[in-house]
Amino acid sequence: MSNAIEVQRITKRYGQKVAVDDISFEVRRGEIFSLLGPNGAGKTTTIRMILDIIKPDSGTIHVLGAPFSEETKKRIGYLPEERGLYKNVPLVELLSYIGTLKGMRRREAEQRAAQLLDELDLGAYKKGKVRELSRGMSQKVQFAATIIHRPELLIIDEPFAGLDPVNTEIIKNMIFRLRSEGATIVMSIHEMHQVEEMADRLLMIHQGRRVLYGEVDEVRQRYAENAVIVSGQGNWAALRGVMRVQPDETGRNVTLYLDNQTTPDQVMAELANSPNYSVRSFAIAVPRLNDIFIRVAGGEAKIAASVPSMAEVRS
Amino acid sequence: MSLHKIWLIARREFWFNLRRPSFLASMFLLPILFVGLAVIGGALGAASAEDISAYKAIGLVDESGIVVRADGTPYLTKLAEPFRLYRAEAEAQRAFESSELDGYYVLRANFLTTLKPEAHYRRDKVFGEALNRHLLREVLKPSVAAQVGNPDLAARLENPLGEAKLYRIGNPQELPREALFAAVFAPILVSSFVFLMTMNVSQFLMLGLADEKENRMMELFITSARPSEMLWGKLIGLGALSLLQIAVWIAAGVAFAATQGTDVIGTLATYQLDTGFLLIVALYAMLGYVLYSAILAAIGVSVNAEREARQIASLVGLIPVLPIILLVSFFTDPNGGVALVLSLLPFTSPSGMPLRIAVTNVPSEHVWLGIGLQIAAIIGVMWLAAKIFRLGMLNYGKRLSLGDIWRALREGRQQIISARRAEEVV
Repeated sequence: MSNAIEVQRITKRYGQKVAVDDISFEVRRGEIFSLLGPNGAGKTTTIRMILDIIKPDSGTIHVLGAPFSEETKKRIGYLPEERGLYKNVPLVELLSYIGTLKGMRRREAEQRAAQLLDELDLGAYKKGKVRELSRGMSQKVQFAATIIHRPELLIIDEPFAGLDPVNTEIIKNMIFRLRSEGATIVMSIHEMHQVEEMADRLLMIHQGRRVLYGEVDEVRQRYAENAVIVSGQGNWAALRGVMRVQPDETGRNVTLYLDNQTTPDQVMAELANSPNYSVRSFAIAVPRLNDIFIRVAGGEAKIAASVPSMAEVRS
Repeated sequence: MSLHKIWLIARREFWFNLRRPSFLASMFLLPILFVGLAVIGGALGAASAEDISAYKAIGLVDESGIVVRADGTPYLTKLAEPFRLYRAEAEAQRAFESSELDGYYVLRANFLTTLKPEAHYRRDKVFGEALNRHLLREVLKPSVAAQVGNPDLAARLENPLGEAKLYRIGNPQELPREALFAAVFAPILVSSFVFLMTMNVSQFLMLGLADEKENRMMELFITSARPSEMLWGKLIGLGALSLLQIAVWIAAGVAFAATQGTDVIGTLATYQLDTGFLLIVALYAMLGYVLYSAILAAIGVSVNAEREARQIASLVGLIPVLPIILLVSFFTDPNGGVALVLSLLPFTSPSGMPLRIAVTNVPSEHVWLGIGLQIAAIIGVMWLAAKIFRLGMLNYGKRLSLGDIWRALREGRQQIISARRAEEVV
């Protein structure tokens, strides 16, 4: 089966500004794919080109195995970043209208709308209107409008913006369930911990260019420095191969940065064999996505230069 | 385009706007208001029409010989109140100046030619229709009848063409006199009525779009339907609403007339109005609706808020009524340059052509040319509106400049977001 999305060397300019610069990537069927980047990086433009709202200046895009067409619209759900709904229409009527536009039968859409509102803890508001809801509740209704027709491909721009932790969890669980039912999910998102927790793969765009792309774990490993994190007692600086010791904010853990000749295995062996150390935990240091994001978005040119090509990642 | 999606959007627009309080108010309260005004106005009119008790004494000077003989004696033995006969205008003038009279009539020597009595009155006591009619019925007609001994002949003073009968060529049924008036003004009334209604409803379209843009809903819809499907759906749904409104108003008018003892449908049938002509009027009105709806839709997505949309729409609304403003040109020179241009120009022909047809025989090629130009304009404006629609919906919180629109037309979706806006949205 073909990929859910295949993007080949797309470029988009607005006057002198290059919004998207020669970007290629693919989204595999059934995965949660995260689109990352600082404000103004080109994420929304990329999404709009995928959805055929705007055309790229060059490059090709295939969605669900073919160039975007009117038929494709029925198979995708899109939650835009700038979003809203009719304020004076009862919720079931509103959702079923959107469902019918996506090809559902009216009765089926009404039943699905009622079911979704129950699942989103909005069952009491079925006859209510958007203007009567809080911002968080409106966000959930917008999410329901995006998935009412059970799309094969879901593209969601900042799905957790404005949601409290409880509602974030509800939406997150719904996204996981959609994935388990076979849907492909593309998320443009700022919350890095959510990406680490949810996404299978990611693409990071910075100043219109692709700067990170691949499996989330693999990307984190790629940016891992030669270091370990330990907690316990002992003179950490005296260990062989340790160049620098960096305690964390709590003071309970320390990161030991190793020279190029020393491996984590060697450090672990020395700690295990030496009576001068008491170790409670030991782990290889892997950077958080947030740190990688800040480093890359902060302008580390060498990172951009060291990004593997698409062919490398595929292999 | 998907007809099913157009139908879904049309149905939604129809039911949603039908439930709007402002629409319900205009549909039901306005007829009630009009009926109320008609009842009050009629009652006041009826009261004032017959009331001449305010006049204390009115002088009458006859130089024509209708009321008095050559020797100065009147034909009538007793003159009806409040009239007083004077031999010469100077006498009446003196009595008027000394406040003995509220005013006086003079029947000049050529009165039988003009049939217009000369009236002299004070500014605070104008001679109304009631007094004129009183003079005619109680003084002039009886005086003429006394002279010729034939009351029927005297009746012709009031209605000189009373015995003339009107027929439409090829139809043996006699036309009522009002049919002459109806033939000229019915098309004007129908076209004005229909067009005002469509302007009203197409404003719902524009305000709805401004609302959807203001509430950030466009991007959700554009991944569900084409802009042209959305435009046509809205246009058809609101058009149906307009027809419903007109039907309710007509039904209310007919029902009210029935309570007053008037059979509107039966009366209209006797007027023998040209149905082909009325169909042309309806066609022009319908095309005008589509054209102006598309224009207002484009405005709706170009602006940033409902308030701005209303301001611009009020200016656009002046264009279709231009022929009504220049009505005199249509009556004085219906085939002249002004009338010709206004009846052919797509933006003014919805009211211009019916007006022109009402007052002259318009060549059929002009009628069809006007319809052709209308259709061409609709195609052009719908195309333009769909482009602006796509551009406007992605430029939230921003009014589109003409430059933005021009770039979008030139470069299509390659440049759909303005360069200024691009800084914010990428």
